[in-house]
Amino acid sequence: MVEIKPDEISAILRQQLSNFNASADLEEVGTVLQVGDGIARVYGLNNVRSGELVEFENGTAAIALNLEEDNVGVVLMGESTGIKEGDKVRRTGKIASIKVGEGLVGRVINTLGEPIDGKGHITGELYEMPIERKAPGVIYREPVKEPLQTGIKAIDAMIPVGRGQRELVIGDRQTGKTAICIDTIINQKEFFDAGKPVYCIYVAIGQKASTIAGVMKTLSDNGAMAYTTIVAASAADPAPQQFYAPFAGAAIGEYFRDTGRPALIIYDDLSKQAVAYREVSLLLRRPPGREAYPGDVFYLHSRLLERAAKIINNDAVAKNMNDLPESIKHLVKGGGSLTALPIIETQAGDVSAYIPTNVISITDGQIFLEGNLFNAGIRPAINVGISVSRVGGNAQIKSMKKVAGTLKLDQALYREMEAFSKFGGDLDAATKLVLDKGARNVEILKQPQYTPFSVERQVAIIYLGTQGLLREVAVKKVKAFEDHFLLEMTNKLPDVLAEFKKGNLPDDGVKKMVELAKSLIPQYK
Amino acid sequence: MPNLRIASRYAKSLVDLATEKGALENVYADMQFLKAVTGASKDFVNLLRSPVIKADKKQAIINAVVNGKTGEITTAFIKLLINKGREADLPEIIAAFIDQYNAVKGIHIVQLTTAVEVDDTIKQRLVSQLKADTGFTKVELQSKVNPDLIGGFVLEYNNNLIDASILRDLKDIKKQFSTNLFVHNIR
Repeated sequence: MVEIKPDEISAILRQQLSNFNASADLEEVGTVLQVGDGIARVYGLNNVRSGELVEFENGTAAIALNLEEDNVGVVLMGESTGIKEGDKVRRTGKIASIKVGEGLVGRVINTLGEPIDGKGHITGELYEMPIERKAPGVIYREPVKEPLQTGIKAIDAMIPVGRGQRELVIGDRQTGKTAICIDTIINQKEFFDAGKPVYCIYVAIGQKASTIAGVMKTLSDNGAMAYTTIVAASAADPAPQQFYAPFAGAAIGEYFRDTGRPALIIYDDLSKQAVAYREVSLLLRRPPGREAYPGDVFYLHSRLLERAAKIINNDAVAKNMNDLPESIKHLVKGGGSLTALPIIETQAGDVSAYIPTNVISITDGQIFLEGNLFNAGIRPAINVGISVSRVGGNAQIKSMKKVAGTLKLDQALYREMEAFSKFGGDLDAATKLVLDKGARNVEILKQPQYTPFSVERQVAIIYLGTQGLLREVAVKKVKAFEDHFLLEMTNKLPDVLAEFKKGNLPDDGVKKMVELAKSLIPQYK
Repeated sequence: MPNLRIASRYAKSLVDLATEKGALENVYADMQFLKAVTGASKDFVNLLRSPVIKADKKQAIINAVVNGKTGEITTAFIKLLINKGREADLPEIIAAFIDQYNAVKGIHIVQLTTAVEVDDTIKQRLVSQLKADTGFTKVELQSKVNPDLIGGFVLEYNNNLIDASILRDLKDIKKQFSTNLFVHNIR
């Protein structure tokens, strides 16, 4: 424990007292008419604006959402206990915002930006970022062209994600949606170690606090907390905190994006956020629509996901970006990006429900996870046929693009023929070839949790798969062969791997690699 | 939750009618009287709100309570309220009427809360200062004493609040200290 001198304490007290303003200002107030279920109706507050932060006598913050003829509907960001009818409500003149800075990295915070990991206050300089902010306009963006490596072979090869893209992860419960996103965060360690970190934000909405603690432990065990912030609104937090949590996360992501750095945000999950929003909307007596969601639930998600963007790599243009908060204007740089991986949980594989269709149409593609693939031992349980990435193709590095170009179609064809071949009977040679290759590719694309693959290793093994060089290897031994082969590659041909990483596919390097593979194959027949 | 929309509509019709008949002051006096009655007797308000008691009985009781002390318009208005089944909203309607009357006459109600009784010279100074600041011409000062304030005063008008009480200052200081930025450093 640090020694404390008495004068240090009094200095602290004096500092705190000096911040205190004893003069009384004119305040605009209203009176609580009704309070309960996390919302309050307030009479007065004549000039309050929509989305403005108001404050109750006991210090609880609230956001004005409904401005009606004779009252204002506000949602409480804290507990409603201690607020009673007739209490005064003050306008603050501020829009709801959170304080963001470098100090947030490695921390767990709630929707209001308060730390909840018991590691004390957030250090360093903090900048006020509005929770609701308009997405950058067209001229401040540029097309997605840089890859965001997820470290998952099936995704990086067939459904590549680019920086600034919004890629939906959708599937039933217990199909590995969160696992994919956590692996993606862990894979960014490579870039953190190289000094070019991709800042990650994991937004947990309506989850069990124990699950969030588990995620945090996984991330710190894998050294990923060094560049990650967790925004947690657990199931026990008030509904408004739950539906504002993704917006708070986006505000943190925007800080990194607008200061010229890449960021990755994971919304886990938006179906729960929509449910929290529905709850608040119904309590505010907004008219219910399909599945009782309010009419603006599409806009809720579209304006959130639109904030993911790749900013133009030109500081002068980026500095003029629309709706920049005053606090970070002097820090703005171009070339940053915010990649979003929203998660949607479906019920019994029903993608035609309201929220899944909405989010599918908003995002730039989806990764579809299936329970029966998961149970068949194909993990990650990605259904290649209906998973797409609409813009990520441009973002793949050249070597991967060349190697994996046909993989997606091959696998789709294999799935079709596999179902057909189950009827038995004789198969012609061509079909047999497709089946053999497909079965081995499926083995290659299997990957255990928390083991991200660097892109050059992915290129090496997928090359062997797509070229049909593994025909001789027994299906059951493909995994063992892969481990052995990649080990030998890193030991014997590191220069070839380095070329792959740069995006090149040199003929002599490939030749050496194929020879190495061929020398190993006899052990795995 | 009080139904403010209904209250303001009934009050508006009453203000309009009274102005038209040139009896606004009389009706205002009646409303002040009714306000005193409803304010003094909780039982009377409960009676008005009771769904069990029949309308004619309520009418009879109101007649007995008011007993010809109100003018023609007010008596007719109460009858209308009972016919429409809105007698439960009478207290809110009275409040809305007084608000609208003040708005018509340009009177601003100012609520002054102090920790101790203050004399008229201080009140006058407050009022004249307020008039100078806000440009109000007619100000009606209602004063209240609340020892909890410890010292200073609270001034409230038109949903605006000037809180210069010691209680508020102490609360603000408490808040300042509750966000202790230094515990982490000490640990």
